[in-house]
Amino acid sequence: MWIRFSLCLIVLIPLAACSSASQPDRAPAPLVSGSVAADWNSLVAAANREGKVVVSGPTRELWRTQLVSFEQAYPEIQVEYIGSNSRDFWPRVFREREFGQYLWDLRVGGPDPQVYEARDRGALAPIRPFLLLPEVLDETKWFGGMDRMFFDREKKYALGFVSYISFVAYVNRDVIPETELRSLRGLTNPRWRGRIVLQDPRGGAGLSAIEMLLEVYGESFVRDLLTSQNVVVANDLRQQAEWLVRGRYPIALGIVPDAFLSFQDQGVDINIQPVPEDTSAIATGTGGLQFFERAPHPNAAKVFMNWLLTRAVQTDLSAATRMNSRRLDVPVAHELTAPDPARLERYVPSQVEEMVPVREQAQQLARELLP
Amino acid sequence: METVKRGFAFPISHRPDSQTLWCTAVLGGVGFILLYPLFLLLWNSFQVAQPDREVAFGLANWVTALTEPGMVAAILNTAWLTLVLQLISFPVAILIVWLLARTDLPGKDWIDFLFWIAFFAPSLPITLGWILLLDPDFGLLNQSLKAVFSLEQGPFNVYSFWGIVWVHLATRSVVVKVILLTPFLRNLDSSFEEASRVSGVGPLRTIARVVVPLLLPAVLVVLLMSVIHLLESFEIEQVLGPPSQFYVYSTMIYRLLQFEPPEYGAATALAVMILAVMTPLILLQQRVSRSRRYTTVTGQFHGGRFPLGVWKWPAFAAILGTGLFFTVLPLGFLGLATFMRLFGFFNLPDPWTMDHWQRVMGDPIFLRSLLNTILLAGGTVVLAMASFPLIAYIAVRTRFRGRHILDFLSWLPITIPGLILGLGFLWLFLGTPVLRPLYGSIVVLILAAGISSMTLGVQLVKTNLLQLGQELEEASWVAGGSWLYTVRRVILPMLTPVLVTVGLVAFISAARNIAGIALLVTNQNRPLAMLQLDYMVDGRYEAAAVVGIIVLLLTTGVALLARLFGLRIGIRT
Repeated sequence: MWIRFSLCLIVLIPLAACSSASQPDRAPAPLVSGSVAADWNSLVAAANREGKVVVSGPTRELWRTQLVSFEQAYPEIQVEYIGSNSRDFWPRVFREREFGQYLWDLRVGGPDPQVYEARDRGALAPIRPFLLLPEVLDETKWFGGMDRMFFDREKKYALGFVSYISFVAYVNRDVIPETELRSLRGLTNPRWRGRIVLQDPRGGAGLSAIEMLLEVYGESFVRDLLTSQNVVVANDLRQQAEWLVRGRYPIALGIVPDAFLSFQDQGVDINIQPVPEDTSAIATGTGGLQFFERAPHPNAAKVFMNWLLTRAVQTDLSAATRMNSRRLDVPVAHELTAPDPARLERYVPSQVEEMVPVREQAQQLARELLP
Repeated sequence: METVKRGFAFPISHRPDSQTLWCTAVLGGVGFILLYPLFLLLWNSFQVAQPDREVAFGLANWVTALTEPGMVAAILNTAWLTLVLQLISFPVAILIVWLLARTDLPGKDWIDFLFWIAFFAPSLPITLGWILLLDPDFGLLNQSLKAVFSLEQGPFNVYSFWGIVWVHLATRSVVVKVILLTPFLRNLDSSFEEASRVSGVGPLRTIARVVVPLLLPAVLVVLLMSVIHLLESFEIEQVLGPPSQFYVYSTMIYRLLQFEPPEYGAATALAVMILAVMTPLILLQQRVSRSRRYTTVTGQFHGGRFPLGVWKWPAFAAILGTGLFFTVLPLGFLGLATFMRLFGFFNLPDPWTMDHWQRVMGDPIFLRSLLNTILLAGGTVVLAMASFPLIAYIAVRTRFRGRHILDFLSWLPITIPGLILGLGFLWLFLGTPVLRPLYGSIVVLILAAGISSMTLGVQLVKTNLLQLGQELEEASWVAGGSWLYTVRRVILPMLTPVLVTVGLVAFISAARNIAGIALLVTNQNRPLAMLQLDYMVDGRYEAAAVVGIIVLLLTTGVALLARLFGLRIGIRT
């Protein structure tokens, strides 16, 4: 009986697995011509015929929920959404394309150096020509105008629709009052030895923090900080946030505000503030967009891009993720990190392609100096 | 104990040509699916991108890997941690296994099951639970002890070497050994112990002088796996290590993969070094397995129980307490995590909530992820139970020339860390035209998960086969039983306990596998483990713990089912 049962399983489960296997569409759908593309309705009709858009995006549930809501606006187009971080996603795409697999339409993610590599490899198509909706094309609606929405040198491949001040450090003011730590320069004070936690700067937000310190205060400051302050490196945002909230490490570098704001949401009484900065970085975080060359569903992708940049969608997305939209007609979701349009020129756009060498140097320093 | 060289090998078929053909096909298939991705990974580790992105060949990745700051300290830390953990966990595990498998301990079958439940529990919430108790500043146990004994500082620090050792022991180290060694001890002929007892030797000396030597192949397999696992696993060290700057070899590999862009070449170099270091030990294990005869199950098998006498109830209390320590505590942490607004924050105005359960259950992709997990884990079990015994059988019972190579190949998957193996699988499925159509389907995940659990499965069955006397098969053969009949009526019933173990381990490792499949999942085939990862990245430990409990319940249900079959079939003491 048991043997028979096992044999049945051996036969049936692979069959069931095969039957549920979804084969990715491989043949690129025909592009609509330029004149037709100008007609939004025609574009939507072409997108409906494609019936699907394949999007890679942040793994965070909030992002997934918001981006998949495209299906509510365009019920005939299914969103195939795969959450994946940059580290895993880009090597996968590069390898797929080497073997002639063009499976992705769009990537929603930050303009990491790998995005620029993807462009150099010919994997990215320009986005700008396919922004069609008047409310999307309206220069006055975007913080800094349309040019500043693009992070690549050509200003057409790597778009960022989020804009926030990326503070280098936050401090638990219940533990360290303002009188004791007034600026980032004070981080190298021996008093804070063993009291600083840094998100791992070998990738992600921690790297952005070191990049900014390097850009603003120079290499010797960074060396001093990383070698003399016994900085603890955290690999997990929640753990870093909890250490900051509990005061175990009252100074946190490279932390995302949302990580500790969720403690506040749940009723934890905390007083966490950014350490005042002379010059601040402005970032787009994971709120970036890239469009793939030879996308299998190009029309659906174009509809998605335009949909994503509308006021209504940006409002919902911004409220859900608490990352401020670049759109000026979207309510501010997080006051503390909202950039001031009047100070536009004073911010350092930390994720633009021109900053890649600084970022690489910051990574090299972190690699050399941290345990 | 007999120390007779093995002279007889049961043919897989009456026609040697057919046997060679089948065995060669298996060797070819296994070799291709394991060596091809490994070759690609190795090849890649010698590729160096030039500033103009032209690819050249060189040793830069290997130099980078070996000269990575902190590498020497990490290697020393790993060696010390490994040594300490094995020295503590092996004696404890062997004692528990002996009590469960060889004695008249009351209720041992269900106590045994407690260890399985502990094995199914996800390690991260348990690690967080230990932080909740043993954090030097806010740990509940430390605070209590400070209050009771008026101490200035709590006596425990979970963020220390001994804290890491403790959490390893309380999560995996002992439990895994208990689970893996139990089937082997069940197959031990009690006449060996009875002879020892009649000679006036006490229980502990009997374990040391009779049981352990007979279990040597199994002990070596489990030891090797434990060491390799420690070389690769980094979750506990990653969470507890930073405050004391305690890094291990696996955290160095993980660190290289975190770089922007990830340094797969250098990480592969470190992974290959694990293989290089482990190869002599694997060969030694193979040599030990071949050099002596470890048959304990023969036609005269006597599965008696060692009477504990007056120690029966104290032993029962001790072993039940240990089992509960390994299960109630982790399940308590898990439960707490799912029902608390913020795990560990008891001082909130309203600390309890059902929100996390509602969030997970209401997630639009939850049901599909659950179904995918069932398909993935079920498919992996089928693959494991169909192929691992075959590979083990060829390695142990045939005269096929390539049997030792096949045996060695089966060790490869465990020596390569999951994230790197996942990249190898990606290349395998994309680079092989015959496999490419499967890319994006759940079959790919099943193959990847199956390969990930191959080492454990094959080695468990292989070691179990070493215990089985060949006269049982010979008797069937002489009586006119065909090979298939012999397998069905003689070998399979005797292997059932270990096959159940292999199936369950394959199930749970497939259900929890993230690293090996992260590069292969699509929207259609993504399992619960990926949903759990989403919550983790989001910092929602509580929702991730809900998914952990669902996987735990799923696996426990399967384990109960398997146990019903396993209890009825096979040799039980």
